[in-house]
Amino acid sequence: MPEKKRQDMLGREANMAILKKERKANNAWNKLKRNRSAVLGFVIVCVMVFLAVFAPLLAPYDPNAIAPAIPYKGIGFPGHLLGTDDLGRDILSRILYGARVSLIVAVGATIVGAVIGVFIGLLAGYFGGWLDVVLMRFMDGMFSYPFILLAMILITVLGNGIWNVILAIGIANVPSFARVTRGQVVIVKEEEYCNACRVVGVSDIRLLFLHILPNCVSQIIVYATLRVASAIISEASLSFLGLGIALPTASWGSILRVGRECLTTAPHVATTAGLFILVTVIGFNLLGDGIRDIMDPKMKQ
Amino acid sequence: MEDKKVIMQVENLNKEFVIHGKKLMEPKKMLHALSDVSFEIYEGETLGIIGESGCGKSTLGRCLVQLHKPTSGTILYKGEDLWQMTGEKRRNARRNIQMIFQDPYSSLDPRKTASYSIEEAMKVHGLGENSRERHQRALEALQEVGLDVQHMERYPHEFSGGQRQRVNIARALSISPELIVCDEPVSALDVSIQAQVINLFKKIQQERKLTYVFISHDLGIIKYISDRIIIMYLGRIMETYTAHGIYSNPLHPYTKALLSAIPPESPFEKKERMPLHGDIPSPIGDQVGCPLASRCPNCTERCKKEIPKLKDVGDHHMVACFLYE
Amino acid sequence: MSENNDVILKVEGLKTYFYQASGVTKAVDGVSFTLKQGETMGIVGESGSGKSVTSSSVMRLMPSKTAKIVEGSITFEGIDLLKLSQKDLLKFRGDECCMIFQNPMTSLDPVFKIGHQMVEMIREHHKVSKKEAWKQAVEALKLVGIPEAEKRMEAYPHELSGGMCQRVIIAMAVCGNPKLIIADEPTTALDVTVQAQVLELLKDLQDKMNTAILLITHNLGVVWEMCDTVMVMYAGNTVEYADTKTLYKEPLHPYTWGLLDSMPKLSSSSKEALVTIPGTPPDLRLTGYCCNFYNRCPYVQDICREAVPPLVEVKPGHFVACHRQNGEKQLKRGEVNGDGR
Repeated sequence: MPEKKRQDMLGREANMAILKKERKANNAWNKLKRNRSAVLGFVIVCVMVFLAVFAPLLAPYDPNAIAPAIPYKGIGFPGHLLGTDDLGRDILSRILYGARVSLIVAVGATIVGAVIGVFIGLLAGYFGGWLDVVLMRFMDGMFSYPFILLAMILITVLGNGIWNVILAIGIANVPSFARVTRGQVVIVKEEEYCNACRVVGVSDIRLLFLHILPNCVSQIIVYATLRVASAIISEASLSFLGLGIALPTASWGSILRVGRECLTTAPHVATTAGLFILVTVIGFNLLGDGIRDIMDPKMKQ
Repeated sequence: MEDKKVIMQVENLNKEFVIHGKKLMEPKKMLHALSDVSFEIYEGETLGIIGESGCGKSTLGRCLVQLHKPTSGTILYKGEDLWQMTGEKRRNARRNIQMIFQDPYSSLDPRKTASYSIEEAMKVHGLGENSRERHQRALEALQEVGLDVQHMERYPHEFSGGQRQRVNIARALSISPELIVCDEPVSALDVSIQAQVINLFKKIQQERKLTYVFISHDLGIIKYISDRIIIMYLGRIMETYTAHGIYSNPLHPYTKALLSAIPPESPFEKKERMPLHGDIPSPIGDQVGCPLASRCPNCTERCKKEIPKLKDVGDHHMVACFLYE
Repeated sequence: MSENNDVILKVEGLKTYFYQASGVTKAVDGVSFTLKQGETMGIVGESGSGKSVTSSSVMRLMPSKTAKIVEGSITFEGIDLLKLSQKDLLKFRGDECCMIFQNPMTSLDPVFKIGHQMVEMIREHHKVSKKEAWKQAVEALKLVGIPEAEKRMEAYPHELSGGMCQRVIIAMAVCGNPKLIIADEPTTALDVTVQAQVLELLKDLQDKMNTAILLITHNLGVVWEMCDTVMVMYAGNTVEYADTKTLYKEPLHPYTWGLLDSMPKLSSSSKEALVTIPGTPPDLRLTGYCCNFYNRCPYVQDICREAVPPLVEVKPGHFVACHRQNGEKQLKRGEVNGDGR
């Protein structure tokens, strides 16, 4: 180390340098890099998103193109890497296009659920009293319906179609987001800095949206990431039951549905789609857990 | 002291918290945090409040800044009831009474920079023409408490404890209050930093003619900074007198015990202890008799049945004890 | 300090570092001391000065992933603690040495009754029946002055006050008859009147059992009351180490001076500004190349910026780590700095 630098070992520049280094080491990206399973989850999610976005370029065939001559061909059939289904449609192409639908539905539904749920949770948690009781008991009422049943009712009312599926799964997601947010708000609103803001004269609304919400966001993001995983499954379940995305539009659930009918004769149809669902769900779960670790201030390492 | 203006007057303040029973059908209980507290604060003075944990001193501070609504009793600010004020008057009163919290680590929003926290305080009170001016004034406030430009855009976790408390002070100062309630502002800080922050408090008081209510459990610090001292125990005032007088002539048995419990100032000093046995009794449930009765060496039958009233024994020295009646 | 047979704990050149992504934190960077049987030694310093890390190094209670003892030795009755196996270490922790932590409420397991926890602890280290262990536990509770000990055995930790909890922890500590008690800020979370009781209790127990106590605190008053010797730590280093009375009467390190002066005194009614140490303690990732105190020291000279001052025995039993107390011309308290900055 040069002599001049050593002279100011504890000086201002040195302190600024260490602060910079710490900021860098503790920024979200670098923390993610240190967490192996989170990296794996992140890579899986990125790959899936990549496949979905570039499906038109990557897919060898039109996903809905029928080739009655070659139904139920197995994996590795020439020209069809993952084989074909009952109508001879290329499964790989269908899965790639299906990824689009499944991811859009899952992410969209989570966003819908999060926006409504977080809003309700904020109000219930912050203002408490009868508002809390009314809102949360209503949420509990929604909770007590099985998830699928709730989504089914909504679909029946709203009708098929991708936006309705998003809305249905989203609404079914609302109570859990509301509950998570409320729990977090109840903790955060008692923090000393909220008291400090009140003494300074910050209004309730400002306090709620500019101080409490940002301090709950990390928990909500973690929860949302995990919810995306379950929304993928929900979409698949609904489509599997024929309530979700209508055929012939490809989604992972609808491929699965087709595969069910030929599970004994052509198991690869259901298996490949199922495998994609499995991997994606694991990816989102790993990522969610990873983000939780990153956000936890105690995990500074 | 007669010629001084009263800035705040507290009369018969009571604060009770309801404790809900944990078991089904268990009746509610009352926690008496403050019972019958009356005192006044004069303009420009520092009023020290001492007591052990659970004596209600923090609750009292929080009542003064309107974080808690008292169960009964009034707090008059410049002759007007704090809780009856409306509109502009109320906003003004709130701005004029600020608070510094005990824990510098939790009293700043972890996701906001120092300058944001300070500018926000000015913004909600409509101070400063525009954000540029507020930014400039935030910097001036930080400089007044001994920080500088490099600290403006830092997040709370990037400050040391002493620096955070300085940011808190700067935030309070930025909206130019008249009265600052300091709730154990230095007890979370290291000794060498404590002295810096206490000096800062004194400097600001002289420059801005501020009034302080200084809450602490550290008797050395309280004595140093205060003009008058209130000694609290279990939600009640035990003794009130000037800072110097209370140390040279403590009357209440609790004050005596408290003073004798302080660790010595040098290894050569051997302290004569006046022991208080046992622990502080629970403030939950109905209160019968003097709160100190269970621990007091001078306890009589009367102490167990009656609550002593705060009485002036001369020279504004107030004591709540039957020994001095 | 002369070699003595009744030296119970000897720490030499201890360096404990924490390895983090943002750098190496030198939490303890060269600490040496000896503790004799029946003696109380105080470690004072600010938060981050390494006093707690020193004690957990002695107990080997550090997160093994990030913390590492890079240098130095810790000998307890002639046994090198750094070479102990995990099994022997467990035995050492319970039988020879035990620790009292700052927060009494969190040091007890909230889901078990006091009695259960004490019996478990006793049976962990002694082969006695449950009944016998129960009896020992009640004895220990009585020893630390807990009224209605039998009834308290059935209580959960949250049913006791902070002072009571600390007594229970002390009771648990002493029922193994340890030779060394490490008390890490044992009274910081307690009120003054309760603090006085707990300190009194510790002193009594020490007289009865002839235990050595390593007392970690930031409160000099506690040191004056309890300790025979005292070590002042700053930024991971020992800056001064002497017996308590010498340290009070003739402190030598500028940091010790600042520390002694910056406490408001009860006996004085002066309203003058307090003497302070300017600035803040350094970031521990930057230390280790110079005197860690130079940027806050009014007596700084060029050499302070360039070299780490060694810990030197200036008088028998009085150690100080300061360049300016080292040479011919000794620095005096309050002396004007001639040629520093």
